Amino acid sequence: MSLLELKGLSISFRTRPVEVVSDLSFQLNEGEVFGLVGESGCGKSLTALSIMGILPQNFKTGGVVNLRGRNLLSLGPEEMRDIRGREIGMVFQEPMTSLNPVLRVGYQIAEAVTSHFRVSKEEARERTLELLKAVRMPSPHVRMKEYPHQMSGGMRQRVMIAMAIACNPAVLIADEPTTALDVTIEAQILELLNGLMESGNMAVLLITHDLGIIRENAKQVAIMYAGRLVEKSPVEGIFTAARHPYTIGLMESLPGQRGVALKPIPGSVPKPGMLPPGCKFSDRCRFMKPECQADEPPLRQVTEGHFSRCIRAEEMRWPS
Amino acid sequence: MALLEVKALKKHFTVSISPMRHATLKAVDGIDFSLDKNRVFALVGESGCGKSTVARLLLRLIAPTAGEIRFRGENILGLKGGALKAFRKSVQIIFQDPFASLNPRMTVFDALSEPLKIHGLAGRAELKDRVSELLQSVGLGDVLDSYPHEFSGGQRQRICIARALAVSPEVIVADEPLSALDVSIQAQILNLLLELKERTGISFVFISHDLRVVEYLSDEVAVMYLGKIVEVSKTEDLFGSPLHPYTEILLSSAPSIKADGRKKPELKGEVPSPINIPSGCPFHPRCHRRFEPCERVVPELRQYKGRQVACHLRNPAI
Repeated sequence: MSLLELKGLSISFRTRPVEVVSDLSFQLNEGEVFGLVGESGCGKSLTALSIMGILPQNFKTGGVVNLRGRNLLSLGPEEMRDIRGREIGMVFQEPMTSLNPVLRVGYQIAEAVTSHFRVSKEEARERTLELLKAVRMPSPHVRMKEYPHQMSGGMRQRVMIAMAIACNPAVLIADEPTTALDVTIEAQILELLNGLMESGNMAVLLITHDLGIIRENAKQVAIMYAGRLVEKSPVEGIFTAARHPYTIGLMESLPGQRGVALKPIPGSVPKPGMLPPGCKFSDRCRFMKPECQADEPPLRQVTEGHFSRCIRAEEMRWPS
Repeated sequence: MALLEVKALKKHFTVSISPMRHATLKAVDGIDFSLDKNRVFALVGESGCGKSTVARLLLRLIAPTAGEIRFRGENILGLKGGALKAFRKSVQIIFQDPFASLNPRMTVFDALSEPLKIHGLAGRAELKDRVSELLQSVGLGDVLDSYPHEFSGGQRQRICIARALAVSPEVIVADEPLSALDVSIQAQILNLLLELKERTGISFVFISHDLRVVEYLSDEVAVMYLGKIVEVSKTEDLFGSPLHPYTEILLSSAPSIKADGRKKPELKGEVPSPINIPSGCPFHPRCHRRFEPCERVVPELRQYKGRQVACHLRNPAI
């Protein structure tokens, strides 16, 4: 049974009728890593913020975000506050800007616990130590008394993860958790997340632009372009038989064999409000036909469990 | 003769760790390499390994603590006046962040005509044609009167490349030129760099942490760790069979879209501070293959089967 379910989620500006996320639907199952992939500005981070109920004021949402059958978008701020951190934890991209620079990290982690449970100071301290050990922080007794600036990027990200899992949430949203880190530290953090997921039976929504990370960590994957899901499938599906021209474009942009010219996607992503009619990718698509710009194609199933938002999905197949 | 040659180059900074105490930060600690005409030499390593300091040294934006940098056989540290100006024309740089490296108050025309004026490469009448030509060569249209904020990241990086090309340099130092860009835009810029290399015969010093890009683009690679080069070799050799344990770990850490089910060797800990570099081999505290001499003896970069590596495992004398 699905833990978190998005049904037709839309996000738009309050002041103008421009949708930045449109008709977004997917399910996150227990103990599963769901990868959400897309380039800057495709709406993947806004999606995460809307699930957490922390969208900036100038956006409004439509559709349904169900957590265990309860629609989060209809909850009031107090109810949402109970869920945030307790049922859904979140790890952000830049650990330096997401931690408070004037508070000790131990205090910040303990706060995540004390804001949801009535615990004594001593219990909160013990839980903090336990959490720092769980995220494999070197010398946790010393580190809990330090400030964020005294730590490296990798250690700060461990603190962020400790805060996010402090209340054993059912869902963890990780928004580009390793983008600011070096490859060797990235590998350590991803391994840590995988370990925590297995031991805690957490479901993880992994947001990234790196297809390599998706292949190695996710079970299901969805590709976003201009606020829409353009392809969704079990992870092997998009690497063995991609069915949308945008996904194919991403794959062909990755440097592969030397001397084989890359085939980048021409142009750049249009601003919201400047998108072409019909299929939003049609103006950059090399498979475009006149019909593509008539109506926006729906996300439809091409093979078992594999969905694509392309009217020519049956002809598409990468690598062919 | 090599176009650009670096010998025993060092850059040490003095940093204050408390009001009364100072320490030496060895950002670059004795490196050698050379770049031939129309080649791409890549420097790879993690944050803090000194690769960007090398970029600034090569341009003579900062002065080294020791060592020499020779351009066409001449030590650039002794250059003055006209000779220095000529050197500045020959070696150009592209930075990582195209948002920070263009003056927001200068139009594209201003930004691209400035180097032409400084070096007297075009008369007033030809300036406009020359700038249009440059923009064309990086795949931008007629945008002479636009300001940087009107462009996307990829387009700005094209403008930065055009600015570097304006003086027809022989070497371009590219410091993480793709890191701020999305994958599909990275591919556009990568194609552009390769095309420029083919068309103009420019050489590149390409600084990056992205191994996939380095494997695709470069002819030769040097891996840096804590201010030292730990391995240099032809790109195919390095990626085919890494000699240094650090290279091995870097290569296997990078997430890959090929499902090969390989187990990653675990790399413990983090890069130590360059203020407090470990004794012996700087990599020994994190190395999965360390043995007795590693914490005592500093391994020198030495020849091994026609390649160069700084590791005791590859030294038959130990």
